[in-house]
Amino acid sequence: MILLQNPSIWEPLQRFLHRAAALFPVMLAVVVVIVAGVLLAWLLDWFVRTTLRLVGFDRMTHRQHVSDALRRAGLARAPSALTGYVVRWLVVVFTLIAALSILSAEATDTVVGALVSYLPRLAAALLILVMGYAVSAFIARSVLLWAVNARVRGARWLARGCQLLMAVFFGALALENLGFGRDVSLVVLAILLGGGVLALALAYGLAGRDLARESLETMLEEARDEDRDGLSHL
Amino acid sequence: MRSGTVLLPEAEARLESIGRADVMVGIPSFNNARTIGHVVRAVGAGLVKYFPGLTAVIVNSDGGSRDGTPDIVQGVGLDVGRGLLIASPDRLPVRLVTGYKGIPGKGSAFRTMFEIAERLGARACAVVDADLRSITPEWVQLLLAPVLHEGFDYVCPLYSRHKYDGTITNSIVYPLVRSCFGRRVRQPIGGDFGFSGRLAAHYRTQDVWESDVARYGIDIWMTTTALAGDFKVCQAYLGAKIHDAKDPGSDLTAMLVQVAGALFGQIEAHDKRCLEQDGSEHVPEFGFRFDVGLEPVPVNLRRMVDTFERGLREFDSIYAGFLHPETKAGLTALAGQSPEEFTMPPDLWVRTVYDFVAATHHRTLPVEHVLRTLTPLYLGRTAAWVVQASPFGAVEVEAEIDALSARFEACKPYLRERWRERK
Repeated sequence: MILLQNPSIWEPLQRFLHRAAALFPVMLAVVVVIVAGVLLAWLLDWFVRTTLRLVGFDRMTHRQHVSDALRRAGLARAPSALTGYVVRWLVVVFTLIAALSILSAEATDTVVGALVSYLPRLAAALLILVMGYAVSAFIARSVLLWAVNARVRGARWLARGCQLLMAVFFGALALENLGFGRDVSLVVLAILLGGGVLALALAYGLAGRDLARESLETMLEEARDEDRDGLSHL
Repeated sequence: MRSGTVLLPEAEARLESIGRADVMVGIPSFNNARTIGHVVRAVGAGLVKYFPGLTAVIVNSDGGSRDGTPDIVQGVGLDVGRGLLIASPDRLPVRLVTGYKGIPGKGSAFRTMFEIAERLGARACAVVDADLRSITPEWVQLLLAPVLHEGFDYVCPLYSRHKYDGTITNSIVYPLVRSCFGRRVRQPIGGDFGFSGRLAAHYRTQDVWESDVARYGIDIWMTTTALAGDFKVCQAYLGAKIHDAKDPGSDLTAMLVQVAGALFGQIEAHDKRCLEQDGSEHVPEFGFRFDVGLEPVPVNLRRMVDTFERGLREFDSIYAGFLHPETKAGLTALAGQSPEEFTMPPDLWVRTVYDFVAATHHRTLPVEHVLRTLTPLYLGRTAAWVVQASPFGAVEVEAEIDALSARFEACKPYLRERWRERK
């Protein structure tokens, strides 16, 4: 009671309660919009995916080699699922913008403006990342196939190393395109390339002299075995 | 120069001076100085002895040898004296030595020879490898006479080979040609063939010269094109096939990719016929069969089995993308066997090959990647064959290869099912 009778305490509290009471419907509207938007996003995802599958979209794209390109790139999703996925996240983004517009029209304008001006760069960066993923997966598989058939030890690690290197390279390209982390990405790439190679050379040449000798001996022995194998396969 | 020609100016000029010819024998070469002299002498003697009244041309299409191979072809004397019971010939075969355009490989050399055959108006042609040590003049007769005198368009060779030799032929190519093209052509990629001028002209017009056909794939492409085109095909028994020591630079995976790629490509190109084909027919045979002594073939079982197991481990996720789960499980179960007792059930191998054929059709992955994963499995099959065939004589070997091919025919519904399967 003493607290309520003290205006220096009661007035700020009253102001807070007034603001909260005024803000509550707005927050409620934001929550409703987000929940409804997310539900709609998932519903649209399911609808698009099911409809496309029913109309044979996967088959059509297969015939046009789109599905092949996706599979070669290591993207396991069916084209219908991929389209549904894109629709779902677009709806989620629009839902968030709509929710933001309830809170403040000015903020929405600013965010939308920034997004629109940033969109081409974002799209280019995304494209670089997708291409990088595809290229690195292709190169990793090529290296693995060559290394296993040539009986190179640590074939899987070699392939993964190549994939990582390509991923870092394309990641650096994407970051540079977005306009931030440019120096960081370049430094990371330089460290991975230069430092990694130097570390490997030192580790193999100094710490692993015995291992190097044994590996070379084994390789030479296998080469001699190969010479002794007189099969004519054709 | 004619438009659309693949001939080099030197060949054009030589063709002008030769004019027409009845028969042509082609020898593709690349660094074969050690053996090509013997091959040219055998071919020359065969032409003079067995086709004395005909105008003959020996064509050497060389891939840029650095060991003087073309000079040997130009300079070697022909053995046409009394030692070979040949009367003084009216005319000796003419020689035409040229390079070729296109992707370096045997197929590009053949393409040049097809055009030369067409320009010469040759009625019958033959091609023989430049590294042969066992070729005799009789080979020329056996490859050309069925075309000239019996009306056949294509003559495949039949050889006596060591039981461990020709494993790509025995495990993949012969059974697949038999089950998909319906003819029992025992050596579809033998390397030495006879063919009619009509068929040479047909080959020349095909648009395949930027593919594996330009390399090792040429042999299987020629055979399957002849079969698919319903040309008259026969076989001629030539005896033993012994060739120069293996080129150390020759890569098994490259050979396998090119041969299997060309064969699977032909199945795809003629899919309706190949899938509907049931059973197979005998192919007419010429020549007199005889037993020959064969050089022993050393093999390294441990290395083969090790590569097989390593491939299964490392390519696991790739195999999961196109091998049938049962096939993959069956192959995985083979790991851990000792090399000396290594086995692979025939039906498992048949299903594996059919899975690869279907995978190249569905383009599950880039075709070359799919084919490159075949090497370890093929080496596993080869190891199993070496173990199985070690006590076999020639008759048992042929019976076993026949039995495997019969399984390929019997399992054809599996291929159809996998081919028509949607991803």
